[in-house]
Amino acid sequence: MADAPEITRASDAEGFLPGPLGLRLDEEFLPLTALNAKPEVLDSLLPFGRMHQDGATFLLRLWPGTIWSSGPLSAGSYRAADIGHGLTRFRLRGVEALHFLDHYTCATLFAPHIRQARCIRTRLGGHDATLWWHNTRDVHAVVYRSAAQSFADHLRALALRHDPADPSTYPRPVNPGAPDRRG
Amino acid sequence: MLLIPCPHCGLREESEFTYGGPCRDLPALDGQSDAGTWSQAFHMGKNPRGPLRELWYHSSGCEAWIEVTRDTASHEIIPGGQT
Amino acid sequence: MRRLPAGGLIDRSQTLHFTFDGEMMTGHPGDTLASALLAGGRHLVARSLKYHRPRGIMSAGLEEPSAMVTVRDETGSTPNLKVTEVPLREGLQVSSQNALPSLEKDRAAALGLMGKTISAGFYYKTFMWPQGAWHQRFARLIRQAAGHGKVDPSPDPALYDKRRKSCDVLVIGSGPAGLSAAVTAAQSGATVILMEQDHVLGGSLLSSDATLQGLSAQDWAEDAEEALRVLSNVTVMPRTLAFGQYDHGLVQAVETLPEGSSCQAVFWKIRAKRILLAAGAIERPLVFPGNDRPGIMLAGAVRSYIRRFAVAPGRSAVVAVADPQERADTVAALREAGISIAADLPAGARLLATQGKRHLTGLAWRDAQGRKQRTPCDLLAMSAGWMPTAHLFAQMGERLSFSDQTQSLLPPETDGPLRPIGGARAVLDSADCIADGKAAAHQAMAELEMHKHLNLSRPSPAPASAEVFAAGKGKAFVDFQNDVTRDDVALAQREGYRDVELTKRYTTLGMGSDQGKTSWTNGVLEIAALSGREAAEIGHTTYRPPYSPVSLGALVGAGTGMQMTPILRTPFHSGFEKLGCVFQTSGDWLYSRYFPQPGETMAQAIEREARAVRSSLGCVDMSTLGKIDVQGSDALEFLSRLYCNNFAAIKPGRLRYALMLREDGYVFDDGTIACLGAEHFLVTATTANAGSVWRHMQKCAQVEWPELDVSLTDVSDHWASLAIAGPNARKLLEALGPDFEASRQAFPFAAVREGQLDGLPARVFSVSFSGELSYEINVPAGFAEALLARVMERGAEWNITPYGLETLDVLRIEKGHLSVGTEIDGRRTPGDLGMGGMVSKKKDFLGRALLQRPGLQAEGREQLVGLVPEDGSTIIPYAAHLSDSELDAKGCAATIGHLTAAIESPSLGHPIALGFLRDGRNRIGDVLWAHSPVAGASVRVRVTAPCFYDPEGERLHG
Repeated sequence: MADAPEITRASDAEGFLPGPLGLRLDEEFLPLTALNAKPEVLDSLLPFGRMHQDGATFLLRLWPGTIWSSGPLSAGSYRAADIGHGLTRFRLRGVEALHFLDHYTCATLFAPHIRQARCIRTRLGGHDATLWWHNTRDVHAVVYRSAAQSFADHLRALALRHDPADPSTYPRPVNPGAPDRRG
Repeated sequence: MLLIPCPHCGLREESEFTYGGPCRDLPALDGQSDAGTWSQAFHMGKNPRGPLRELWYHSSGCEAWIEVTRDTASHEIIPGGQT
Repeated sequence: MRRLPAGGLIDRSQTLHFTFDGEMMTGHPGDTLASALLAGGRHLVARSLKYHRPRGIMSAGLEEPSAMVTVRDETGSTPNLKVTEVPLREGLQVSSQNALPSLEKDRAAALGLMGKTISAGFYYKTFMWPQGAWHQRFARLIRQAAGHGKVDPSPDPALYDKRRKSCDVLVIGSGPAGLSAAVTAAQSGATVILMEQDHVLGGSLLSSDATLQGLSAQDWAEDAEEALRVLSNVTVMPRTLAFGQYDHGLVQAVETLPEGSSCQAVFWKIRAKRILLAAGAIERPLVFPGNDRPGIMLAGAVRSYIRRFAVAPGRSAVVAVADPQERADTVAALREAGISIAADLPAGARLLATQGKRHLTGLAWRDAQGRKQRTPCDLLAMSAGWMPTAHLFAQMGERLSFSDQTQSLLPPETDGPLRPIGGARAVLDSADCIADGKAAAHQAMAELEMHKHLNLSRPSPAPASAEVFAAGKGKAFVDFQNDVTRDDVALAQREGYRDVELTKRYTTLGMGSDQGKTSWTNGVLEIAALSGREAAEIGHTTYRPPYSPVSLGALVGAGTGMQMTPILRTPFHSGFEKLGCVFQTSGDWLYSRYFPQPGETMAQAIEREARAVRSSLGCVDMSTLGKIDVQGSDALEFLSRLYCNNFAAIKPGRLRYALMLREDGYVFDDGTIACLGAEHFLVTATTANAGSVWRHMQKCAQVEWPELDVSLTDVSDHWASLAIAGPNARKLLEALGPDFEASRQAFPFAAVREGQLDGLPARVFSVSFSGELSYEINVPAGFAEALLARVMERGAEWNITPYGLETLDVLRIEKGHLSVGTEIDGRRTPGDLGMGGMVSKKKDFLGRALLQRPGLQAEGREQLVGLVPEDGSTIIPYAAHLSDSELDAKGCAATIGHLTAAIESPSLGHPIALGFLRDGRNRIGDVLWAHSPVAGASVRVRVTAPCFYDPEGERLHG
């Protein structure tokens, strides 16, 4: 009886994207389980719109009736279904990683409540994308496995279309007396 | 392109949603014997120039089916109940 | 050379070279093509659309109606660019359009002599006979005689992008109102985007000699720009044209990037809470005979060329400006440039005619006393007033109303997100605009609750000058781009096309690419005067985006070629590539099509693959099916309501084929329901309907029956699925090392087993689409390659043959199995498909009520049948219609059905087809015609049952 073999990758994403922004895109398998229960039940684990990372335990609640869970499962009356192989987790890393994505996502990643929650499910270039980040330079992006290669190709094509001194991708210098940035 | 108020996610772009048609208030499933009543509810929907209750599915967001009231002439949207 | 020795916002230290119709010319950074052409003394730049009249540069902005050229640069050539909108760059090759053989000697100018015959609407009254000549002769002639530039057919090498931004306040336009509004909003803490279509900020301030707050107009603008530059909450977007307003505060714009950028242009979608439209106003031309000659310009454009570009557009000028202040400003500018004033027309003057062929040489007019005058000149600066550029406001459907006071179409007060300010609401004085911008910005900030209400007063719109000019009789142009004259508008009124929408379409007034920017207000005034109505009664036509033509490439962004839509790949993709698979796109998927061996054609590959499956063993990718995990104490009840057949007694380890109807009773989808436990099911849906079935199930669980205890999880991509099919399938299954019993008795047809295959976690379903003994092996997608490798290795013993979509289809057609889009086309009931007996009579399910409608239960409906050629060998044409009769003399026959599939069957050795035939099941054995006018074939066919191969289904059990 052989052991379960290696999990093959869904895309060829590895290392720097082309173009001057110095962004890296890498694929890292993430075991994930969908926990389904009534919203009130899930609220006691994690409120809607939030993410929680505690060592190996990762929870993401972007659906009223479902939590994504990675790592040891908490006790509770949920229905579980394994979904990890159906999703591909990418990491986009670089100084302007979140700003870069913000150009293309349907939802504004820098809206106040999203900046606070640091997680969102939205649409990017025709792909449904689930995003979370602990800091804006290291963004996790999860897409359906069947779209993984397409998503990586898309980010490559977009990265090519930026210029190093593009003022809209870099934060502008702040005058000491300038008012606080709102929103 | 509209901005649609998802009761869970907040105001989001129309392209995150799939349109689900007007709310039709169909008879209960066990009232299946009457094709006439079902046909009336299913086919003869109202088509107002004004507020219309309708369903949208937040396919690229929280995947919830939501109800909004949209004015068909001005596209003003009044958030409806969570379904 | 007409360049002034000093002044202008140009960089004289650099010289840029370009060509116009082959002639070398020069200019400076800061020039537009228009200013560079004028500086080089070139006035004739185009020929008009219909009459091929010589045309020059009338304006200094996007409203330019006549001066359109084709510009070639390193990316290719772009037609129909206005010389006023193209910033000068090194190496541009500019050519005129619509003139043969040349701009100077255009042959088609003879059309001008036919004036009266080719007036408005002439094509509705001509070119009617002979009817057949339209396409071959008339259309081609007309295309050659009239038209603008030619499209460059070579592929565009430039890159484009599509991006999004959002902000609190978007200010469109950077003249005095826009700059003032942007500074006010930004200093109050709003996130501000200031958008300007020109490559420098300042708008009308760039050519103004006003003094504002103690500074020159240009210095005031500089200060405002500096104030914005230091704020981190402001984004300035020059070279960005806001071309449309859409719902809920969305503005779409195209940014043209500077030379050397990665992208040529970026299409922006901007969401703003408040949009201040500071797009200024467009000057209104005078309508008088011969008002279209090169050298006749809008007064504001004359001032702009002199002050901003340091170009003298002429040597001797006539000034015909209604407003006294503007007249004085124009005279002052002309004097600054050393241009002599040949005449400064007084109020009440009547303009009679202009002289000059390719350039203005003189004006004939009557003074206020009625004396006839003839003034030689080479420049005429004209203005009838100003028209607010409120287009983006009007695009949302609110009507503008004609104001007698301002003699222009004005936007009403509004509480929508977009507010016109400054010139866009007819506030013209620069100081007033500054005040208007500030007041509007404060208003917006108060509404956004970012500032307290200041209730600053808004300056009133400027009244039009009471002074007007009159005109004599003759060809007086109202719409320069489409060559629409005053007489054409009069003709439309006489012939009854009096409504503004009809006048527009009959005369083509305002229908050119300039969308009537310089012509519509004059058009409304003409219609009113000629029909004896008030201008306010006339109304206006619909404003639509884009405000000015924008690049199609930009609208597409990065989505070209393979990037157009996401392409989905199965987990077996790379494994199949190594096996030499030929792929094809099928919907969103890149699917395995066939696996040719060296030297094989597709037909040969299909034949080999099909034979291999029927005689031994094949494998095919089934991963694209939708797969939904259904759990809960009400899971079975939930599924029972969704599917029309009865499976209440299903036990763990078994599966059932299931048919889902739409609410209207027609078949929606088919799939399998596998029972993994009393409260756990795995449901499949077809590839094409995977998304819709998922949405539908979600709707039923959330909206229709929220009281049911059921949880749904989409696991479509989680499971890779490889079907092994053929008489040797069970032998291969056993060779894969299952940790469950795989014998015929232990693992019968229509069952499911969970476990491991030599350490690979797996679920195996005994189902068959091919009609052979078959197992669909599901493994988590990351193990797909491992599974494929083992299947190919251990299956070699039985000559395992991978197959794709083509063979998959051939096999299922031989069995009469249904496919979505062909048999399941949304118009069929279960009865039509031969599955009427499956429909449960006991339970309630979606679609049951409307399935009972008499029409869906009637006799004689189109029913699924099989067809074979009567002579046993003639190929049945795909997509043929079925008929009882031959084609008649006209090639027609009454259709009683159509084919959904037609192949040459490898297993049977003759052609077969599937299709729908009226009352089909009662006609088995009948012989009919199958007609395909497209293929030019008619074949005699005999009706059979729809299953050709192993009709008893014995091979399923192996």
